[in-house]
Amino acid sequence: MTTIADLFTKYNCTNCQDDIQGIRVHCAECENFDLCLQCFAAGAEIGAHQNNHSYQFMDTGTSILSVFRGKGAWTAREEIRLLDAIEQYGFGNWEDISKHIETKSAEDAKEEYVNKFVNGTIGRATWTPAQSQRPRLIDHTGDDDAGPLGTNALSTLPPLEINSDEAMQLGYMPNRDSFEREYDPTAEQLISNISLSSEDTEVDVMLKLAHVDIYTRRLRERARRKRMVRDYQLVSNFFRNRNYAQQQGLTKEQREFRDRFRVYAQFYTCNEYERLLGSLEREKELRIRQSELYRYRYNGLTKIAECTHFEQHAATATHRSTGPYGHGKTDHTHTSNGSHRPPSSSLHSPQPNLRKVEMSSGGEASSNSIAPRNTLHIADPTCSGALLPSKNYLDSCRGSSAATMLQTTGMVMGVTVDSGATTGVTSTATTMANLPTNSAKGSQQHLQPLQQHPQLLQSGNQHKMQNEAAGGGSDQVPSMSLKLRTQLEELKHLPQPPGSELLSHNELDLCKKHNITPTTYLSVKTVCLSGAPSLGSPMETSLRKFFIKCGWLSH
Amino acid sequence: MSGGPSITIKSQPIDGNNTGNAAAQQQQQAANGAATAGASGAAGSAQNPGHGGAASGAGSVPAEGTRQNSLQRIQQRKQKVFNLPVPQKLAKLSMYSACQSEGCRCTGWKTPQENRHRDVESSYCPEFNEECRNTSCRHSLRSHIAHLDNISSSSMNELLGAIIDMENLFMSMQRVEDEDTKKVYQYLFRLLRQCVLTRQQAVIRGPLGDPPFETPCITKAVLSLVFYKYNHLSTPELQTMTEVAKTFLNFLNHYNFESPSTRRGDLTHEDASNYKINYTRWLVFCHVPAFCNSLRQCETSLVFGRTLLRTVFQCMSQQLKKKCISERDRFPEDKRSIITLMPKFLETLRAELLKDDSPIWDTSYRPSNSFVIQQRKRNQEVANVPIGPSAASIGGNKRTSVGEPLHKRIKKEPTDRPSSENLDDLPADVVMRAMKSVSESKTTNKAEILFPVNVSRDENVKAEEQKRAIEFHVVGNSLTKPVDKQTVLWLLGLQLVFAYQLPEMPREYISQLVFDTKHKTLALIKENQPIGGICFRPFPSQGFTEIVFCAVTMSEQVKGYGTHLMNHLKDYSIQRGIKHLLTFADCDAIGYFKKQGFSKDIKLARPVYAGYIKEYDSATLMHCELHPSIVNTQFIAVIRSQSEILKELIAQRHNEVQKVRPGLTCFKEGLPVIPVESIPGLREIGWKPQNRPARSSRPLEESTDPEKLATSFASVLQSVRQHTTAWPFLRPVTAAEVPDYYDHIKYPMDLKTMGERLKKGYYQTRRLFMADMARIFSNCRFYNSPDTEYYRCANSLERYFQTKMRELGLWDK
Repeated sequence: MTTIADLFTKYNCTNCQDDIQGIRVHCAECENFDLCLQCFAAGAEIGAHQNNHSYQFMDTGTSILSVFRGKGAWTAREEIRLLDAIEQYGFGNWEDISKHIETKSAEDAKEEYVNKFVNGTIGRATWTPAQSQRPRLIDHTGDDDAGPLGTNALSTLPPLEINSDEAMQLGYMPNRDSFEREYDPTAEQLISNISLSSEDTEVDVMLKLAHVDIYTRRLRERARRKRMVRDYQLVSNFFRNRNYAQQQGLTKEQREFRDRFRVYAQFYTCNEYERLLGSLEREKELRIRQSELYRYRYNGLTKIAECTHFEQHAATATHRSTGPYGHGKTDHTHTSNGSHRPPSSSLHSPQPNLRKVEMSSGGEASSNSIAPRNTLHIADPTCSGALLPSKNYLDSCRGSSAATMLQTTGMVMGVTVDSGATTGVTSTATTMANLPTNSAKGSQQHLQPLQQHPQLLQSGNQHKMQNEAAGGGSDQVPSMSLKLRTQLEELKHLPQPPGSELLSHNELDLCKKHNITPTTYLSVKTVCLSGAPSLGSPMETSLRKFFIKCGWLSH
Repeated sequence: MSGGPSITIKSQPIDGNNTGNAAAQQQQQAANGAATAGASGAAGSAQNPGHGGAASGAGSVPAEGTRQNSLQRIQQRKQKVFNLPVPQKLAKLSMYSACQSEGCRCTGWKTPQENRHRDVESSYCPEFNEECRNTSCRHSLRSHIAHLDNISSSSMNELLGAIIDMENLFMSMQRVEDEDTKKVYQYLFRLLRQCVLTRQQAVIRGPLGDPPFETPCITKAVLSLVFYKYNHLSTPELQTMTEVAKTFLNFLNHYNFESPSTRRGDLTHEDASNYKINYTRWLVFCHVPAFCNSLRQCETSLVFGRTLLRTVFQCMSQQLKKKCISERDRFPEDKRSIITLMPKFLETLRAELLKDDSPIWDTSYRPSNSFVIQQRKRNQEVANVPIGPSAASIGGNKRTSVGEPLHKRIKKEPTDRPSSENLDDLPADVVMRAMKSVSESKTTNKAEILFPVNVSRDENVKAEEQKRAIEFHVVGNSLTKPVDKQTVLWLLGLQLVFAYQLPEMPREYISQLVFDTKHKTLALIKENQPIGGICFRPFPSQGFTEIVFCAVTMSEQVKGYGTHLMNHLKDYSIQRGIKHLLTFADCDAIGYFKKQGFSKDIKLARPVYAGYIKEYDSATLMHCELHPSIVNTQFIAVIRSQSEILKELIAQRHNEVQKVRPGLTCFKEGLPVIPVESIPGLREIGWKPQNRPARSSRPLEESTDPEKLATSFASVLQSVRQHTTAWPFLRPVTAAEVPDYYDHIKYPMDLKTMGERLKKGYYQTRRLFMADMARIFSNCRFYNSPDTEYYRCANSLERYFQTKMRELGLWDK
């Protein structure tokens, strides 16, 4: 330790009385006698000292007392200061370390330590044994995060296609995939005020764990919505005023169908949803074609070329008289309707997801098979049901434009987007949205008795759970039975005009207007669309105008 | 050695006959004439040739000049003979050629009586039909050179060179006083004559043996000594020592050994016998071929070994030291260290010479790979020289087969300079030895461990961790897997810790991040309760980790928990392949993060972290870079052990530097000043000269004019004495006047003492003169208070002294 302390002491030359920098010559025979190199080389003598006395070289560590040899080696003082500074400031804060050394820069200090004390001989001798003592922390978070809301699933989603300005308006950071204000911002209030103390009983602990569980469920909903936003690119669609359902090449029927079906999008990914819609539309087209083919086969046709001739004769016969031929046709058509029903039902029974579609299609068929007077009655609810989503969508668009014109902040626009999404979702989403509110209210109710009646809490929970279970069971059974009875009664009492299931509601209106049967309408339609010359009748002229308007027939 | 004049040497016939009395008388007359001419010719080189000096040097030493002149004169004479016309060359050769007539025994053509004193090398050219003066021969000159009709020009020149060498040997034989040397010269003379007669190669055979006579040779041993003793020096110093060794070898090669009769008194009987043999070998193979290039020459340091060096080392080293002292001023500035280092080198060589088990005299000694490679190159050069067969016995006159042609003298200087590796890092064994000594000192100082001072911040925390009093867990929430109860409780506790310690942060925000599935929290658990933690989010794709919250509960702070917590996070990140930590620190937390190695200087490129880190107002982004080899939880312990190792190495180096060295005797022996770089041992400890060209030229100027300096100092001293304020300093302070003066002043000085020193020649440099003068003034100011007259006299006289020095141009310190 004396040797190390000697590194920072100042010495004067006994002969010339100047400060000695670096190496000094210490006389081994005189007491406290130090000479600088120049005086020693000149043979200085003063007092009892003779220039032939034994001598020692001393060094204060500033010039040549360096442990590492070679060009550019640090002095001993600098090395000691380097290690002291690293112990004090840590590995990485090279600015403060270089200030402590005073003679080296930050880059030099880092390079010296890494080369000599990490990768050098001393470094390998000291760090290699220490690496075996590196601690293994107990890690409770696993990396294998599978599932639809896991990290692996979320990482495959495409990033939002928005630029920095839109991101700033939204308060969204694409690289972090986080919003300034997340969905359901009041969810954190469930757990932010929870406090733990040693006085908590088992019931208190379980209650707090339940709160965390509730919060976790709300986090899952938040993650699910964020996933949908990224998957369907809702944000970029919103900013570019792109109507999701208003795609090119879609007919009115397809657009209405997609609007009604949009409620199911939340359960599928974007690709799956698109494939589902395409498949359903394809199925519908195939069913219509199949019915036409069955009608031709019933009338004994076996070639496509004979269809035109048949339709012409059918139209003429209907126009002239509805005597025995018409009566006989009616009976046979009724039979054909009954014959092709069993195959369709058997085809769709294995897939439970498509059961609703089948019921919907069946309902539609039932409504079309009603008599003209009854048809008008049933058509009204269908039209009103179709218009409802349009109105909702128009309201949301109007709200969006108003928000845009008002130049509100991104926060408000975010709220608007959330509101629009909420409005767009049908009753199922509304019901699901109400569930957190009920849970929150229930939690608040539970919190109040907690302070007053701790014993009653257990019984209250138990009773509530039992009531919920009983209520759920009783509600489900009656609704199913009622629906089934209604359908059966309708099927029994309503007569079905032949061929009415093949026509849309617009076409049915035309039939009612001209007081013709659906069968006659189909025959005339086939003749006109096949390019046959016009017969000149008023009905035919009116139908041709309708076909031109629909785009089926050109001028 | 020195060449004689151009005279004709007539040797005695080998076979004398009864009727040769008249011829003998005639030959004696010729010899007398030759002796007279030789005496006049040798007058120019009366001095003995001096010692071979050092190779470097501006001027030439008189002794060396004489030697060089002799060699040059020999060469000039040979060249002159070579330029003679062919008839004169043939006439010259006939004098040493046997008569080719049938049955004639004449060994050389003799000049007729009337032309006896004329020289063939001048304008004289005898007729080829003249008869030999030998009565028993009487044949013409043509018959003596009949066998030389078809000789080539180069062969003729070779024979003429041998003849001239033979004549030179004859003259040297006449002049040398020593009997042993005379015998050797006579033997070589006869050998050369026989070769000329038989036109054969001069091959030396006999009991002397063939060179090299001893292994290892002196050159190899000396170079091994340089590497063996001075390998630890730096490259420039090792080069300097190599220069010193080469200077020694060069001196040895040019050194004239004393004759055995002169050295008989100094050596023992066995040593005298060995020395005589080696002396003869030296004459035959090293000394004589220097001026008789008909013989093969070898260098002394390459063919002799330890035996010869041991016997001659004493007197040779003395002469070498004297030469170094006398020729110090002739050396250039950068070569003066050789002069200073030579005595130490000779002392080291003497020690190794007297030691029986010295490694440098071991044949199988291998310094290092690079050195061995250079040695192998040198051996390949030596192998090119053919080794002749064994020599014939002395005095043998038998004819031998025709040998290889004569080889010129081969002079090879050891130009290869052995350079060791430039080791920037310490060897592993040095570090291991230091670590062992550190552990031993730890064992001996166990009492100190009981009361440790300067305990690191995280020492107690590590002790608690060892005892399982505290635990570190990495916890986080999950949406897809069930989270166990304990983890949820810890997360709730951590939420509370962060909420209390970060009051400005909204609690909902803390809850959101702590329970976020992308974030994790390193929890410090004590008694199953979290007391601190770091909430962080790793970005593996970007290679960094963002620290969001970092807090320790109030009651547990300032105990090292925060440091250890951060160290654990660093090790956790290193294991995950992440090497950077980033955080936004508010003004209160900057100090903590700086102590943990964070810096405001961000080393990561901005695109790496921009958009990934949530930015905060009124907070500073800080960065910490991690090294995969460093174990951060053991950081303080390892740094301290490295510090101890470093101090141990410094202590060892300190002991090397502070070795007591013997005093310098050169000052008492007449060398007044030595350069700073020539202080013995200074380069050995790693001192490097500073680049000050302006100052280095001045000492040379001072040393060249010591009388001028003394005159200047005398005038300055006289002026200072005559100053009005010099009266207190004219003579030493006496104890009678000031009783306690010598109790305070340790080194008194006065103008009278300085005058005495000046007369004795003590002030060889300005430094000494100015130091003593400054001593006078500093002593006065030290003893007297500033308000006294003595103090004012000192200040006034000092200003006057500086003025005088500046006038003379001596004050530019």
